[in-house]
Amino acid sequence: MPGYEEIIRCNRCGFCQSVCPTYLHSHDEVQVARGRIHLTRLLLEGKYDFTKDPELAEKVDDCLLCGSCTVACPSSVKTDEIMVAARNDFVTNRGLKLFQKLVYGGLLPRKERLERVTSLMRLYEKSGARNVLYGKVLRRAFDRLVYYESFLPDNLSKPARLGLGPIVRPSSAPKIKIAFFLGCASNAFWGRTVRDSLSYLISRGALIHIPPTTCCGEPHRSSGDLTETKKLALKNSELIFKEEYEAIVTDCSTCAKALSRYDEFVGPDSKEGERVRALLGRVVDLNTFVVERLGLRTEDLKPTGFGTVTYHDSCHAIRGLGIREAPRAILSAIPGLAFREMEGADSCCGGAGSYGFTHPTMSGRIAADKAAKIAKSGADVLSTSCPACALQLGAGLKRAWKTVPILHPVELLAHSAGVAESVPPTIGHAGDRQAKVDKRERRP
Amino acid sequence: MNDQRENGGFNQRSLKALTDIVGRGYCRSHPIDLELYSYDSSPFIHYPWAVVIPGTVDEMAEVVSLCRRHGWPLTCRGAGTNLSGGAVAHRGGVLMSTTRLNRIVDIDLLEETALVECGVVNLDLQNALAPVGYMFPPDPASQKASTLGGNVAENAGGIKGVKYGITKHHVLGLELILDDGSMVKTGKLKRGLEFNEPDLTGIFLASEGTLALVGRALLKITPLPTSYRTMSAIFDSLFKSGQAVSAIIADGIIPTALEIIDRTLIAALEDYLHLGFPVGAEAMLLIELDGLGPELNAQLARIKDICFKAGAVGIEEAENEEDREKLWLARRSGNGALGRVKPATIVQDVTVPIVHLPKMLSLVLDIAERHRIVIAQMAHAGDGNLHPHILFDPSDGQEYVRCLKASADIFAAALKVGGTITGEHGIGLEKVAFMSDEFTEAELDFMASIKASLDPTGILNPDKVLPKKWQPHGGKGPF
Repeated sequence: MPGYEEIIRCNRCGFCQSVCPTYLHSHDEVQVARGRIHLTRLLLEGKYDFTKDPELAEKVDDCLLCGSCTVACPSSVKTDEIMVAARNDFVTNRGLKLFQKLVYGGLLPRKERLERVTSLMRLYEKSGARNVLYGKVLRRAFDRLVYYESFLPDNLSKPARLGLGPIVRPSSAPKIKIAFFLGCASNAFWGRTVRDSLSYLISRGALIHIPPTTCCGEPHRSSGDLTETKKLALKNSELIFKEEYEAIVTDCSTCAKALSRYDEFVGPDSKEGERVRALLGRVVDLNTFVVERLGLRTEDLKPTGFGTVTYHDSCHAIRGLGIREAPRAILSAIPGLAFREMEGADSCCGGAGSYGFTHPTMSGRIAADKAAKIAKSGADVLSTSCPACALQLGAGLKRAWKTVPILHPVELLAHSAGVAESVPPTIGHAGDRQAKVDKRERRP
Repeated sequence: MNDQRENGGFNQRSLKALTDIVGRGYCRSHPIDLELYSYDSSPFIHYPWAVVIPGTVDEMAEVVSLCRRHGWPLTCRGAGTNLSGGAVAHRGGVLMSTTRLNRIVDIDLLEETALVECGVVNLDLQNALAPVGYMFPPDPASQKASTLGGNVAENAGGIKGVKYGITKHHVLGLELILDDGSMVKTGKLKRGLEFNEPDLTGIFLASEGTLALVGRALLKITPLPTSYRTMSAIFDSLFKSGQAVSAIIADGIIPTALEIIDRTLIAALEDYLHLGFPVGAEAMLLIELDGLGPELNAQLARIKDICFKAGAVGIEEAENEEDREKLWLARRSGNGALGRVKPATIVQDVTVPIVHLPKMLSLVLDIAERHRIVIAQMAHAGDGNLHPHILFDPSDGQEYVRCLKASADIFAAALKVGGTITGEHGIGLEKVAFMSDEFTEAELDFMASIKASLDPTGILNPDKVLPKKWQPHGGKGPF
């Protein structure tokens, strides 16, 4: 954990202003890495403390932890790590906030509860209750409610784990044995993504174990609750860091990043930490696994019906794990699909875990900007490898009245290879949703 | 601080009056917010009473007028990347941030001008101009963050300074906010054409926000060159690299950029970017030429020749655009990357006649040795502009004192060889004490008379640039 030495390396040159998403959407020194580091420095020097100055916690919470500043910083100051340390200080002194207690304490570590929530959301969406909210009167009256509601994806699928056994076998003799780490958000919101990706993997001869893991711990770490992070990490590491698995794969880049640092999470100097460290090299994100371990096979791919795709790099993938080429290689391999880079593909979407819920104004601004850039790219399908980014981008697009389906690269690949179980989402056009809503409003 | 506030009659009603102008959320007085507007890129830290972030030039003018009526000190700040303490509120008062005024109003290719608001970031203008084949030549190393209003106020130089000149050569007119809040236009911005008048725009360049504030600026833009050649030459002493620079200029070649980077910086930048810089080499000279391809090849051959004669031990040419970008990214990151060596820096920008450059570089080395401190040197060598970075650890008080002494020695040395104490970073707070070394009494009196006529109450960026004696009311104001 970085301390004072890390902080004083910032000599306030201001280069972070050119990349910090919260600064670019506010032009305010209160919302930039340099300012956050300065405050943390004063905190460490004892000028302020969280118990007397609650406003300080707000400033520390405003950071997305996207890591853009570290890349642009000539002294490579790790603002995200510094913020986590500061939040840990806050949590230790003051405890988690209510929202965090509810979601991080009550939902994420307990997948059954989370799955029940998903079922309720499905009921809400499928029953048409959603249309009531989107009706003219309620929409005006509760625009904040509509904001939160927009995070719910269209055609929400069943939780991934429902109806999925602990082991998925290929029809022929297995070529590789892997553990699939099923993350909370993937499980709860993107069941179809997981199912189709697994179908693709077994079609390529992978024998897949899906251990009953709990939350990866990254949300807890981001909010500064390092004790809980360690607890979760210990639980998971027993289940997935096993000799028998040749690779530990996950479709979620946040989980992948967290798992790749599990030796730190469980305690770097402990016995478990050492055991985990030896197997750490086996953690791999789904895209990289397909490209580098299975190898892209292009012979039996068919057009998917989509014409142009663009890709959003999640912070945890591009800056956390340095993954840039693998997802692009997959998308470019699909016949009939043109890959078009969007402007600012690697800039944070403003989702940042629960940031969209805790900081609606800033997060909403960033999402709107992202949605505009996605639309500008002219893509009719958006691809990303992070379930949280997908929720945030989906919400941003929805609020901008644009319907662009969002698929994981491997999910698209599964459709192209003809092994996907789910019906491929149809191409939506900007204004489609508007038309739908208008139609609803015309109803008596 | 509170006493001062009371002196200015600053209270909740004052905050309300400011809020009424800029709107809710854009006037701040919470101690933590003030903390974040108490610094710039220099070591100086001073707290304003309130921060305002206006959204339009008119709001700026209203704030100025209110400050003048009440006699509150007013400091205007862009991105807060000033290196001489020019953007901190030394006397408290109101700190105005221009970062929301970031609209590029117009780009006119026929006239080759760009009209911008003061808060537009230098690089954002470059990025807007590049697709149409143009650039704004002044490119200070801080261009990623620093605003054009700040560039004008400081008369910022840059890497391309050797060939293209500095900010003052590219400003055609200004819309100024005077100390009473009235607005005037100068130069081409007034008439739409250049006519015969005294250069009224000129006196506001490098005025550091002490004479008037810049609302909008009309800038001259320049077509992008068609091709570049970029190379780096390695030397085993700073002196030799300086000699090479003098020889290149003496030969009549005008490169776009001639930059010297010393041993400490080479190591820090290599640690940051991993470009394969020769860690351990004493000096590296970055050279860039622009223009037409065939002409450049001949010049390049001559430069190589000169460098080898001056004692270069190795020369490497950037093979493609990517390599070139990396070299310049390295150069621009110099200031920030020194955080890897020591946490704080005083950056000097003394400038000397080009013949004395080699000598001055070695003088700085001697000074560092004499005071037992680390000085990392960078230089816009082509125009004789040195950037000694005096590194220190703020927790070591004695080291800081030695640094200040070294700083004074560098100023004295530069003045002795006929140079100046600042080439582009401004006087700010840092160099005020040295103004009387550089200028005669009569010259300072002349400057004071300009200051007194434009800002008689002394509200605009008090205590900066002119020593106390030459400030309005002997620096006791504002009233």
